[in-house]
Amino acid sequence: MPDRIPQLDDLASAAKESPMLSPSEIRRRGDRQRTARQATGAVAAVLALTVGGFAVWNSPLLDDIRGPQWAEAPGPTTPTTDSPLFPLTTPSQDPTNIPTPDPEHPGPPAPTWDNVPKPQVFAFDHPDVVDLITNERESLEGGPIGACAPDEAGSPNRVLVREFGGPETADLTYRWAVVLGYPSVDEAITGFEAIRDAALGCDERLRQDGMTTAVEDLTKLAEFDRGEDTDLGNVLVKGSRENGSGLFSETVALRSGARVLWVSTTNEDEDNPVGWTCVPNADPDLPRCEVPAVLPELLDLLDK
Amino acid sequence: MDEEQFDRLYADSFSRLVGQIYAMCGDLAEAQDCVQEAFIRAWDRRRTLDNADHPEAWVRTTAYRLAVSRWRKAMRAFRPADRALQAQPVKEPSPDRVAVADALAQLPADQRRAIVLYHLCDLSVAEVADEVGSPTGTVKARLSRGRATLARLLNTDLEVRHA
Repeated sequence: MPDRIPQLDDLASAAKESPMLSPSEIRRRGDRQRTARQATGAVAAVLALTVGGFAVWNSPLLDDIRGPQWAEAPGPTTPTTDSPLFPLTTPSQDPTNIPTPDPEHPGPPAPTWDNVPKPQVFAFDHPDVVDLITNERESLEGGPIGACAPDEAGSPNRVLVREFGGPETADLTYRWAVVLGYPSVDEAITGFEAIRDAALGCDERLRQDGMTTAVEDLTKLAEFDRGEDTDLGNVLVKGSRENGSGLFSETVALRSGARVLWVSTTNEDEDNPVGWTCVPNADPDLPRCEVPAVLPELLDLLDK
Repeated sequence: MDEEQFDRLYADSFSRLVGQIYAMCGDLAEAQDCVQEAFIRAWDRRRTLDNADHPEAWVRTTAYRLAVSRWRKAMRAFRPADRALQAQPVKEPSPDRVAVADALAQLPADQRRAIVLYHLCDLSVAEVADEVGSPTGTVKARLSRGRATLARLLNTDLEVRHA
């Protein structure tokens, strides 16, 4: 039992005089908060459906239904992604796709695809071997984000997911770069913590899958001069099975203001455990991990 | 977590948590607000709370984060004219409380948090490390430096050994 400091106890005892709401009032406010969040989600879903429906209606696939559009002449198209693999999932850069702020309560500006890292940024020491973009989406639904994702990352009002695969195995996504925009800094902190805490607790999840695990919080090693109003988390989780296979999952979470960048890298090998042969900080003997090595650039990108 | 369990957690720990957050942030009204908001979030996200090993620690961490976030916002938004809008404390604290609050305020935030978690919340070094997300060696160093500074400021002996 730690020794007490009487002066500290006396200071804290001031709280005994503090008024408190009734438990039922606390629950009522909690219920109201939940309802508001769900309503926001429902509105976002309706908006997404509306925008999506509009896009489908305007797509060439429905030309026969809509009838001929004689006035529309085919024009040049500009590719919006450097991935040749999933052109249909390329997100629209149409500004109508970005949530419109309430003019009376302008929130923080929503992030755009310009804030999401591209593979080149991680190829700083091997620019001739650059990952491919395997998919892009605007939701946390539709596929896992690495092995250590949280059940929910707070209540973002904008989600942008860019998935990467190795140049020779492009069908195998192994890295996810996610940018989340939140209505407020507080909510961004909640989202950041959910991502970081899920990574810190990921060993438990892998153990339930029958793996022997280890988790390392490498945040201190990855630290850089990131200024105020930011949070950083860097967690490495290793899991190995009795048959010798295993996985390594690295989570890097970076919050700046009301935005969070989350880069999850999961390497899995069924035959040989994948070695994690890099370190987050500069080291004379070992290569630097790709994501922590470019944190200053990623922060600039997130703030752009 | 059902209503009864939540109400019991709230009734049992509210004042204690306010005292702890007060010691961390130095503002009693702010501490009350943050703990209250943390409990509201706890009920809103009670599924998360169900998964937490120590619900009280979850609420404390959330309240602390809220306090830090509000402080950052206040620092950004502060203008001299805003002084007039600040709420005045209802009751004047005793000189002793002022002295220890002032001394705590002079500690770096991470040392202050470690001191409060260890000496006020009765957590072990390992539990403090777990809650703040730092290695135990770092926590020990923060405790040692924090105690030394507090002892000097309060003109007392706070030499304490820990595992």
